[in-house]
Amino acid sequence: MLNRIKKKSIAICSNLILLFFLLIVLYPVYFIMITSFESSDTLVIEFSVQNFSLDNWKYILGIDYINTVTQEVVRSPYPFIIWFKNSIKIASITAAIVLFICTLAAYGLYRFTFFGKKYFLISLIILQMFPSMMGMVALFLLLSKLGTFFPWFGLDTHAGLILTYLGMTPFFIWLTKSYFSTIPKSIVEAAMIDGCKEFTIFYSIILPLALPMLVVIFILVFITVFSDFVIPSILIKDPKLLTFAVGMREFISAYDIRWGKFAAATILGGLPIVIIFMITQKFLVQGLTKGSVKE
Amino acid sequence: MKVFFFLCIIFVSTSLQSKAEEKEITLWVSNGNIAKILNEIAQPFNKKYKVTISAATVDNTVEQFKTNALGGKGPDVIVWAHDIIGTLVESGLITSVEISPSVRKEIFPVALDAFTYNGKLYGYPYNFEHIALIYNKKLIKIPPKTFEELLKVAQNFTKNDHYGFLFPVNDFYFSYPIFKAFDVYIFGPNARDIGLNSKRAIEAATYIKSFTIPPKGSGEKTLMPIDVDYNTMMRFMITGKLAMMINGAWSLPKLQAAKIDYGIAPIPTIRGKKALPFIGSYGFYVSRMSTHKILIKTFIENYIYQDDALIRLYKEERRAPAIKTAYNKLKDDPIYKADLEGFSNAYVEGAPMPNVRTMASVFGTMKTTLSLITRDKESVSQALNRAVDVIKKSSRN
Amino acid sequence: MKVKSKKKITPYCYLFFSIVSFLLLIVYPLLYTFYISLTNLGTGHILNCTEAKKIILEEVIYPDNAAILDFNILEKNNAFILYMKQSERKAYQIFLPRNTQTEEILTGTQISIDEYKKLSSCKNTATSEQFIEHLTHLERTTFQIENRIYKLTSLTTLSEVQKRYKELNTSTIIDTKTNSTYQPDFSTGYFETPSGDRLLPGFVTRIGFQNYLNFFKGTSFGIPFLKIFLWTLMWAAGSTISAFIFGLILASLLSSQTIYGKKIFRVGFLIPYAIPVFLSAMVWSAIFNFSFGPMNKLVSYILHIKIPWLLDPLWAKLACLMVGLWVGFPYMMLICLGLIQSIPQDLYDAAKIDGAGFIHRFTKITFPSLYKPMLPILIGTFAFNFNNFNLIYLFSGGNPPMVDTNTMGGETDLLISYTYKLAFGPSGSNNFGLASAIAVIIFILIASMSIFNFKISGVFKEEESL
Repeated sequence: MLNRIKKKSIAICSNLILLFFLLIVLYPVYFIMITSFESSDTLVIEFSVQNFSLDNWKYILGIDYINTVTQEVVRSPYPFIIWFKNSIKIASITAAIVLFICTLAAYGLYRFTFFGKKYFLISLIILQMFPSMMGMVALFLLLSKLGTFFPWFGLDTHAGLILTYLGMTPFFIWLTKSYFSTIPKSIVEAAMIDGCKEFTIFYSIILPLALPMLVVIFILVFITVFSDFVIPSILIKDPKLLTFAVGMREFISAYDIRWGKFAAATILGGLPIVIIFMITQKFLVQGLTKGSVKE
Repeated sequence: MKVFFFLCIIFVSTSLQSKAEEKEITLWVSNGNIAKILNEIAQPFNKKYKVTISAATVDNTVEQFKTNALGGKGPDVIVWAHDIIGTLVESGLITSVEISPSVRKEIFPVALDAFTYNGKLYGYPYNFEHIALIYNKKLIKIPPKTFEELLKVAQNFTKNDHYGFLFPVNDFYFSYPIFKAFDVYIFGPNARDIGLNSKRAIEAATYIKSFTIPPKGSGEKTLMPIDVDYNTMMRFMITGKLAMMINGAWSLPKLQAAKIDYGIAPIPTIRGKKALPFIGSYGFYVSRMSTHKILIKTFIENYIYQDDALIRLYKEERRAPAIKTAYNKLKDDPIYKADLEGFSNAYVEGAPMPNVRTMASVFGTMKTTLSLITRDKESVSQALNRAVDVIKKSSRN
Repeated sequence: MKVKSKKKITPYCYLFFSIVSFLLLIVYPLLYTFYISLTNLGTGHILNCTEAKKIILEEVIYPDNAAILDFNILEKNNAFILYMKQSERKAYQIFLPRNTQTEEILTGTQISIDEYKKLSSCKNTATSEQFIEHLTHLERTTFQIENRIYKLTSLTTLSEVQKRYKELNTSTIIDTKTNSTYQPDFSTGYFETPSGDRLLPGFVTRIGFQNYLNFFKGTSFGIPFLKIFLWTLMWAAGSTISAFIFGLILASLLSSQTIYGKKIFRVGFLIPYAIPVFLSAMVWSAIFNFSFGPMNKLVSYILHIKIPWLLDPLWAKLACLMVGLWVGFPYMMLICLGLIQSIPQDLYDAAKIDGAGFIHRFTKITFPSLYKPMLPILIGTFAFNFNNFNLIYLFSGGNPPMVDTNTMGGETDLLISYTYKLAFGPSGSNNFGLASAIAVIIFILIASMSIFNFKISGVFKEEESL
């Protein structure tokens, strides 16, 4: 009896502590939210909205509205919805391709030893530490040369942009390989005894067991690509192909940050990630190694 | 496997895009609304000459222009302020331009001045602007004519979460008029002569310091918080809690949206001397790699330099048109009359911001220097001496 | 035999795509940046020597009393004729074949006024579209009439011009106005006279390790560099470790049985990561504003003072670490959530039966199991934060500025934001070559640190045994 009360009180305590942390963590997010409903385009740091209005949201969503002061119809010249779709498309495709490359490479590293494996591993993670900002000129030139041979991959194309993002794979290869290493060797051995081919082991056994980590990588890549504005701003000029993050920068100029619209754009931009996470949560939390092999 | 093929199809289909037509003249602007207006102005030109002028919104326009030049690509025209001329010319990225004499005499000399470098014209100016004193008419009936009067008035207003006078003191663009009133020059006749640590400059900087840190024993209130910046100033102005600020016409739409009844006046004099601000001018630069220079010239002279086009651009940006006829038309328009008049004196007497390459270093260095001075982290003379050292060093590159 | 060779190739099959992307997107930019660091690429040195020479030679000046000719165009026999009148007695025509080469000089011939009148009454005036098709060629063509050179200056005028510079031989240029000779100097990147006068624009040239030498010799190095380096280390370690610990604790709490509403908590804690850094950094900057930020409102309510968050070196560093934690922990939490799944539930069940409390289970089961896989991630995150330009630059801008040095470095500047300020900042030299050199130096620093870290944590030893 006492044990149960003790357990319950610990549970409630931990819940409260978590709630407290959550509120602190979401504190700035609250400000961003109320700023998006503020009509005077300033950052609201009081606790409530001063002038409530949906104008910022209408601007972002491409709905015309009437400016109350000048009585003119305001229509955003920026096709935010198109940019939003572009970003989602690019982020998902990149994440999928990264997963493809990562899992294959991680499996190769996990299962086989070959000449130069150690050095390959080391160079994978060390060379990626080079600040990518400085490599932009090189990538720009690469894509522009590539574009003259293969128009699909040149500057100002989504394919070229996705290609650039594939530079983040080495890190995730490490991550995936680490996860593979935690899969008990006995499973793999059992499969080999059963006469499975390498690819089957990869596809039917390792991948499903590694699902939680694959979900994590998908989300991480998606977020990184979706929020990135440096690379698309340099590589893409066609307004129909721009991404959402670059578009948001429109609202920031030296003196005049249009906070309201910026905040609304941010919330819109955060939605896909939150939705993806909510959907994929259940894959994240299944203990899939349960009972598969008796140790 | 199926998923993989599906992905491949998406991949391929996104890459198949039609390439642009050959006769395309690209313009890069950083403001999307301006790009939209330029495209609309270009419609009749496109029809007549069977070319396509398209304005694209490009953030961080100048840096992008430079990066693209490395790869042999880039736009035909970029739209930017005049102060970047030095950098662009010295990198060989833009070409000098000619304006037909009949058009040229219609342009305000100060705008042409701004785009002249080493004696040649390197861009087509289309507007200009400067900062002035903007005040809340509800709180101030008659704007002060001298700075001494202004500070006294400001003292009365600064209490209970209200301020009498705010402006971004650490931003050299805003505090330059005060330096000018103290007769401080930035670049002397000799290239090595930077006048920002002269005795008069020290006086000017001390004067500015007194806004955030009133001299001991003067009994004055602190007029401005130590970390006053542009956003703070605007926030108080918009909520009606600020009596006077120094700002440019770009801020007027926000004031209107917040229903502030504002007035514009020249920056008050200091000890009888005029505090003239920098004049900034925006214009069209032509890339050296462009093969359509004459078409661009025709477009700008015959389509952009028309009154209705310039007036449209004014309504969006609030920067005064550089063509005299358009300017006068706006002055006669009752809606914009007061705004333009409030800004007018500096156009005649002011000088453009220097467009030499070192100017960027001046702004950056003075920002740090002034913030150290106004927070009393360093003595005025030491900070200014150091600033001049850094500027001199950067000008040697 | 077949099986053996297959076994040899197979790993490369799996690694193929990653090797290709690695070479293309990581190795190549690195090598290219190193190449740039050996040049003087930057403002004033963007073009190569030939291009710079071309621009200089293209420069024209208008002589005093330059002649201006207004012309009209006729189309005849698939070619154009430009005809113009100079005075009541002189007129010229220029014959323009359809495929004009740019380098050609087209000579005009004199015609009589009657011929001029005949041409002007001709009906086949060329349409502007046809003419415009050739405009790009014509803009670069030089026209010669009676020993004078003309260029196209508008759709209807030719103006007399004079080339300012002439090419003496392949490497010398002479100024026709001053008669001084310029030769390309490959160590400074300009065309120069013996006395040092320069022609603009300059060109890109290889300068070897000059950038590196300049950096080490200059005042930008020395004490400020050391201070910034130390802070960068502290920042990278501090933000990585604090994010890891917080993320790990949250992940294990959110994987245990006793919490309600786990799903909501997980999504909620992810949100800081879902918001792009360039927005959250600016919002945090406003929150930590000294005079008006809500943080100080809270602090002044409790402690009756205002903390100079971004104005004082120590507090600014603390603020940076706090924001770094806020931005970084969801990432760690997410990875830990994934890795915790690899720990068999039976271990926890057994521990619970044995009466182990939460803390015990955490330190004896969770932490040891995650430690090994997390190490490379921690080291990688350390490297990422070492170069986390976005966050620092947008949040504090490197401020507060350093007082005791002659450079524009700040107390919260990272090596990379300092590099940015040196190379591209307003008081910077706009020298991309220099920036690349510093980037290479930073890279060597952090690569050696990481290799050292890897060696002492024995990560690589583990790999061999697999």
